Amino acid sequence: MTGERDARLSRRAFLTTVGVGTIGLGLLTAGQTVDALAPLALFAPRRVGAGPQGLPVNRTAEAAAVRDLALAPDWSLEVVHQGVPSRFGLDDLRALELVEARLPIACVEGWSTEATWRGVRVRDLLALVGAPARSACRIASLEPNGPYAVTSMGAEYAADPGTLVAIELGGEPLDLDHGYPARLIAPARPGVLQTKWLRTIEVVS
Amino acid sequence: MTESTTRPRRRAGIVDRASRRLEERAAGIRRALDSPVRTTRTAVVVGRLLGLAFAVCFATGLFSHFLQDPLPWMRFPTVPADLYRWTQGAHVVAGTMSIVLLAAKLWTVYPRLFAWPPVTSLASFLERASIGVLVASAGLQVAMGLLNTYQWYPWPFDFRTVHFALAWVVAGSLAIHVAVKLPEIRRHWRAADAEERSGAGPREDGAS
Repeated sequence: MTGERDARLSRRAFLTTVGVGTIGLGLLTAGQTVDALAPLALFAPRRVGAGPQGLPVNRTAEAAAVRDLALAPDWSLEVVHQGVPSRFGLDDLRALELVEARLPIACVEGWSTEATWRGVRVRDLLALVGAPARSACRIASLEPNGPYAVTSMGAEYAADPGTLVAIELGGEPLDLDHGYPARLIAPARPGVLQTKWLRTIEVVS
Repeated sequence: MTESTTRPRRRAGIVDRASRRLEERAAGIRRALDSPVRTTRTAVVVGRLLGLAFAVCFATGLFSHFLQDPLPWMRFPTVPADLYRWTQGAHVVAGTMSIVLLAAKLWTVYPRLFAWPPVTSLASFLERASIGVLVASAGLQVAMGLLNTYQWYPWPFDFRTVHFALAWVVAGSLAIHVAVKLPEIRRHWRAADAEERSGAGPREDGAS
């Protein structure tokens, strides 16, 4: 019967090892999502708080080749409704009602960080050009190439009061790598769809 | 074998001898790899945890995919604002954890690779082929997912397209695998049932 007891012991040892390995690896990774576990995030590629303005950057302005376009003094955001474009310069945006939203940047690669954004509600901009709050939009970045240079945003996001054309992050103007002069930030969306260096918001329905 | 000329008979002799030798070799490997840990019960315990991790990955992965490429009728919740943070965090954490579980599951069952004869019927061929697809696709899926979290793309194809397609291959071959093994899974689902069957007390082959 010792054979059977040994067998049971080694089974238990095996399963314990697998369990400890699995949970351990999970804990070492979860820190990139759960702030409380951040000090443990040894296995996570991103450090919480790294990057300009305390927020990590995936695609820099240099990588996206937008530096000159984004820093151009005559930059303006184009909002197109029924084929008619309206332009909003940075000063025009600042003159509108600015609201603050605490929203996460959550990357498809698993890391996420919450930040305080300030900007104009997308639905307020839509109202200014005569479009309904619940409008599906096509969002274009200054970025000339890249798989997410032009993306679609469902009407439910435009209608949400938390969806902003953000011009400030943590009380300061956006860093160039975070999308200066203006970027999109919406609740519960993947980071790749939080378009930086905004060029155009076009109402499509 | 009614027409017995010398040549086919000699050929049959060679095949027989080779087959016998391979059979002995396979049996030897299986004996060498035999371990009290490598039981059906262990495979079930590790397998269902791995299945759970894969289910979390599949569900959260589909959610992330359709957020980026919605079908025309799809609408998504904007509340809670942290929703995607949690689903995608769960996707990556569960995927990373499954590395250990996948390794443990393969270690538990890989002596069966040396079963002899390797194929006994069309059904057994299809079953083994489906396991081959499952192991290959699951290994690749987990590995490329991990590399993606490091933003390392050492391949010429689009990560998202392939990761999405492979997810369906894993899901399909896993469904076949679970369906085939369902009777065994049910017999070894609870520890007490499993012990009753694989036997506390002397094993059938008299090894204890």
